[in-house]
Amino acid sequence: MKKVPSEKKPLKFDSIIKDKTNLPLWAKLRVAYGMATKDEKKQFSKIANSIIAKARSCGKSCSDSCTSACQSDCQNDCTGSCMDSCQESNTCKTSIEY
Amino acid sequence: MKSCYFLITPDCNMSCRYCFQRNGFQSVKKGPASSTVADRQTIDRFALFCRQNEIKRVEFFGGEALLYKDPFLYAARTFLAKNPGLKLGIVTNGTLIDEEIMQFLEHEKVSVLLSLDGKRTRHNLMRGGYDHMARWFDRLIANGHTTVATQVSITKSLSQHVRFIWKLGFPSVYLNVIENYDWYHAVDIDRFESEYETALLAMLAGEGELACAIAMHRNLENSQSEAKCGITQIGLACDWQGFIYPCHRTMELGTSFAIGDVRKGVSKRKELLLRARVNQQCFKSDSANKYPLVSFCPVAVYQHHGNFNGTWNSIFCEMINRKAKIVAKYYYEIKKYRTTKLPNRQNENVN
Repeated sequence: MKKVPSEKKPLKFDSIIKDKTNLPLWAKLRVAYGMATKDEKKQFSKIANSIIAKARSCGKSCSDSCTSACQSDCQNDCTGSCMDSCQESNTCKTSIEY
Repeated sequence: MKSCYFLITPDCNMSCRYCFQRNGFQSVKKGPASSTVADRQTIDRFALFCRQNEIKRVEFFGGEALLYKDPFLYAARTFLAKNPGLKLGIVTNGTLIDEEIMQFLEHEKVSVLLSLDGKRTRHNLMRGGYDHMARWFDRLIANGHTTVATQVSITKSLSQHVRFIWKLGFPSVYLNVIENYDWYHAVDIDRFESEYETALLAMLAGEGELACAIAMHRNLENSQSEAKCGITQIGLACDWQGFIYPCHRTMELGTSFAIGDVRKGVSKRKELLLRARVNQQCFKSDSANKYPLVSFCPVAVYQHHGNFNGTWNSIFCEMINRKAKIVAKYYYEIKKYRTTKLPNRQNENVN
């Protein structure tokens, strides 16, 4: 199936703060204001992805190359590349790049 | 720790330009003309109320809490005598302190929140009375229980005034952004951010504590914003007539917002209804949704709009966002600061 690149919608500040991925607020603010370092973005992705993965049926974490966190449950079978699947199904309402 | 404010009088000896209470008490039904200060009966009953409700801390405020000296001393001594272990605090402009009051504050280790806006010129421009309070600075500093509350009345050179206060010897400054609608201009937002960052860097360099930054840092360690205020949670306040309210500002709206009194106690039903009403109308409003990090005073909303779900002061909200931004920017540095300089206050619940 052709990958449909997900549209990077600019997130509103309040959306980031109210994001449910369990990152602490200071981390969300660093993302929202573009202050997050490269390492932090990777680290935040890991945290966000592992929390999301627990909510998924496959229970697999996304790969390190994943750079976005999907807000809605992935509709496709999880293969470990959750973000790719989300992008394909286009069910994500928002995406956050950490 | 369960605490309660005691508004001993709504009267004040000063007329600060930004005072949020200036028009706030007009609607309050006052008693006889001589009675804008708590009488002995009300004081005694409040002392009993504290014991019955396991209040562990009473914060005096006003108006100016020291305006009527004898009632203040009678109240403070009565509260302590009837409630062993009770802690006292006072919010004061500091201009009416005398030797007897100072000795009482020192002996009873009363926590003092002193309103000081910076250097003499700025303070007098906004408030007045600098020289009257300055004579007590050394002793207030020495008693070890004084925090300074500085109103962000003018954003220009704000950090210089904070550093001046630290240089005087006051270890801690809490910056209060003014909630009054139409106080600030849009240009104040960026200026405030810049000045706040300068002040924070000075804190990290060891010049003094920016108490509001420490409180914000603690809040930002949560994953969801807990921006609320006492009125929706466990706030309690008693006015000079003995009426009980869900926070120290609700009394400005009048006795119809009281949830009880010191004679009959608190009506749980009224309390729950009012807290739920404010929570629903103010903290689930469009403004609350737009500014999840901000806790804007519901009383200020009601006074401006006539209801609790009116629009918040957007410039105030943006300034709070910028404060959060700066604290997040220096998250790791502040964490180290808290660990090394404030090891005993890691879990402190600061309002």
